[in-house]
Amino acid sequence: MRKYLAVLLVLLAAADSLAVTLTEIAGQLQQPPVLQGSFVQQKHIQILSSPLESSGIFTVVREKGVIWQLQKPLASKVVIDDDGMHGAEVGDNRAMRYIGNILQSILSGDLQKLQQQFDIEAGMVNDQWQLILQPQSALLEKAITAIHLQGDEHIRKLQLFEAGGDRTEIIFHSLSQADTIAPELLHELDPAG
Amino acid sequence: MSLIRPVKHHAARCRRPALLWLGLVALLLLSLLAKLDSFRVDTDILHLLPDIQQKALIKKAQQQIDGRMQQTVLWLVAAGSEPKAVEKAGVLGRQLRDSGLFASVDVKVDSNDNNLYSTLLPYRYGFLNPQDADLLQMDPQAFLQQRLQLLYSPLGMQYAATLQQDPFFSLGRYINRLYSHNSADIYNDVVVMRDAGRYYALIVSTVGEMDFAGQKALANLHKKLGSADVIAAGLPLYSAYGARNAEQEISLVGTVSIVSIIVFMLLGFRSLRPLALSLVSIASGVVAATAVCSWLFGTVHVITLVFGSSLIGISVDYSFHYFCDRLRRDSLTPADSLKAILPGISLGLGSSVIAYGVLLFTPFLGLKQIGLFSVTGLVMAWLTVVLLYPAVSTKDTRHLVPASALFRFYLQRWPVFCRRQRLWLGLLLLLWLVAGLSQLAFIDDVRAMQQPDAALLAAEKRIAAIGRERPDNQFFIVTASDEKTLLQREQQLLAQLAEQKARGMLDGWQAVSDAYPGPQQQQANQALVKRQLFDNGLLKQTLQQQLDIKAGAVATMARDMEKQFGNTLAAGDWAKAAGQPYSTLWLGCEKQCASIVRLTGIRDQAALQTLAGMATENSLFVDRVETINRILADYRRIASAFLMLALGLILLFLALYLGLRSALLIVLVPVTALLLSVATLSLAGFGISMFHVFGLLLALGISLDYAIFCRVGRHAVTTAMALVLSLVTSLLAFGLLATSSTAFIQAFGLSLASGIVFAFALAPLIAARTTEKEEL
Repeated sequence: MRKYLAVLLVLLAAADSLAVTLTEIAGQLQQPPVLQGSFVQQKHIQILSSPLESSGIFTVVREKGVIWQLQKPLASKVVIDDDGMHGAEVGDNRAMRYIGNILQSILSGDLQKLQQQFDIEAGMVNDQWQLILQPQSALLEKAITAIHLQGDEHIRKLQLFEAGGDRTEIIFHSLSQADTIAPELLHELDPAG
Repeated sequence: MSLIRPVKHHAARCRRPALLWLGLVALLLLSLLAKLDSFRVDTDILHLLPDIQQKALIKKAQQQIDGRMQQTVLWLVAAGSEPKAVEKAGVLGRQLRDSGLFASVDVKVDSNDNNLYSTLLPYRYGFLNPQDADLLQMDPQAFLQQRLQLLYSPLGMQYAATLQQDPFFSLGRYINRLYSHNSADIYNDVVVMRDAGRYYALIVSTVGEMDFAGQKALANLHKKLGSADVIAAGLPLYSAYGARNAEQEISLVGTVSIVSIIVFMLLGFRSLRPLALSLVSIASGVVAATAVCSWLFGTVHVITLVFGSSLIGISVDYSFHYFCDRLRRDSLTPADSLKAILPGISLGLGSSVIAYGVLLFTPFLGLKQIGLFSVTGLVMAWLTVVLLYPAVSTKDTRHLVPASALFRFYLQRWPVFCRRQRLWLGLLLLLWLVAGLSQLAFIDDVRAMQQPDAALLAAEKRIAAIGRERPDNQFFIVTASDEKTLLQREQQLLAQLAEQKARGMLDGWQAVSDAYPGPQQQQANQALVKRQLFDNGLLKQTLQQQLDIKAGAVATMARDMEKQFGNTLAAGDWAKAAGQPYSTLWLGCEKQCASIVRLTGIRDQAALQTLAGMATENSLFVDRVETINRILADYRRIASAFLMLALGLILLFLALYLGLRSALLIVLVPVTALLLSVATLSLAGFGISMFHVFGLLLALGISLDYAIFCRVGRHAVTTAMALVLSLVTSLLAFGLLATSSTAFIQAFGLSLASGIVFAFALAPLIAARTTEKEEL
């Protein structure tokens, strides 16, 4: 009985410290109406000798969606919103919508939404907070084993570990926030409005 | 001394038959108790339909389509957000599991269900989306660039993982397209659908074999859990509610029937003994009928029980006659009474046995059950009166008929009045018949008869609207001697359907060859990939230059490609791996190969006609609603024909004992009464269905009793009293049936009640004149 009580206390303490850190991170993390920036993405794919590198720019509009523009080595544009993903040959299926929604939550710093689908562990790495996300869903776990996020007032680095052993790393830089968005960009997110 | 001896003698003479009766009842009761555990009540009217006259292939197709559907209940749980919907679904899932009513309750989708990918992998180069194949054919360079773009996209991970196995992601894309019709999302392993800003989590539950108690429990559980935010649909719910309503109505009818019998017997006889004995007669009749039915049929259909509860109405008539006769002043001993009524009740039983016995020879299970139930129940009730009553009824009665003026009016003044006014009454009767029968219309539409619970129907429509499209009840079965020809024929049919779709006749279809490339197509795809990507070195060049692929990786891909070149996946294996709906559509090859093409969103009746017109020798058009309706019409026709046959046989039977004139007069009463009933229903705007005919069948039995007793009953007042008691109690019971919310029970009650009222009015008119002079 005493043993269980001890375990319980440790668990409670752990939950407590986690909650504090997560709350702290949530407090630190800014959710501006519009966040713009550049990204560099490296995909470490097992059968490729060197990682696949690409770069481009992105725009996150709070509660609307994300515009993801690849510039190098080839140009493409993907729009992610509540309905899923649109644009470049991405197809349209459940997996796309699912992952698209998660990506949107990550980029817009919506920790609350992420907590509903992941077990989150919080910590500090080099003056930056780090979150380790593990999927609760057995289905998702078959594709993604973990997502590591790092940042300060904005997200700076995303690492995605895949079940097959591949890994994707995205570094975000030149971030800037704004209160409004260029109408033509808004139109892309919300063609009706 | 000399007074006592004959009585003693009488008692001894009566004891043996009574013991015989007791033994028989004990035997029946025991056999019923032995079967009690497996006793099941069937409520699906479709189960009444015969198995014959359907092609084996159509049957197989329907079984395959129905298979799981017969047992599946879908639940949708609504909430304002995905996590809330999923959470609520978890709670409901636990409640459903705890109820113990379900064989399975699935809230989360099975994450191990990755069968299709692994099945297709060894044949992957044969499976290309048409648009991929087109692009590959026209511009392989552009094809590869498009694939690279996929790899770099934020979702590239999905493809990167399969780069070695499926370098063009063609298999992944093929599978995505296969399931793209599926509009549902998966949130934390739960299927969630979005509609009008709300989220609906899906729970799939299946029920096992359900007995009557289980069905009731399911209906109650649904009633308890269902709300605006919890909607459910599925065939088991319909039968559950059917069982619940039917039980409520039957027990109401049964109760009112019994209570009215009690009240009127107490009023009439002012003694408990006749009442108790009547109840014994009714009970033993029901026990015998149920026991014999469950021996022979295993289950008892609800329509049989409805019929059965109505049988109380006839079987108690024998008791009425007996006890009414006991009130007669010159009926000294029970044996006297039995002697007085024996010809009447025996002729009544004989004609009823003929009326219901002929049903045993119909090809319909439902009619057979009803026939058997009625014959057994009536014979048992008759045996009770004949064997038991003389032994246990008292020999002294007060010989006082209550309200005898009324009965005298019924049997004496009323016929006199009718005879005096025969011109006007005859004319009125004729007019009524002509007017009514000219309006005669038949209803054989199952949709009109099996009116499902409105709320359930709305829930089902709602679920269909939120979820994916639901196939209609119409489909094609395509057949051929081999798989190749079958797929070709299916393609031809789909081309025709595409034309109809363009004309707006239907929304679409589900077919195997829509998504399955035949062996030839698979080989053509393989050749295309080999020619455009491997043989010309384009793949190697692109992967090495643009992706810096490891040495040897391309060679491994090429080896894989060569290894599987020429191998093809058979349609049956594909369909099995692809799952719903394709696994249902593929019927496989036994004597011949066959597959189903299901249709969705058929616009209207005209479109249905057009589609039906497309049927050929090798593509059967199956319209289930139409098939069922046709069977119902057959049912009605056969029941009507057997009604005529029964009348003919009864006429012969009666003529044998009473002479042709009396027999004709007696049969004239039910014939006229039934015609009047049909005419009246028609005038009131009802179409005549199978169930009206069932009601008329029962009315036939009761009407015959009325007519026989009016004709052969020697003691007017007591006969009249028995008839009035019979009418009043029957009407109270069947009048209630007519108010039923279940359409077919209502139809049954209406035709029955109107039939016996007319027969009651007509019966005294054929009484032998001598009865008029009888004094009490």
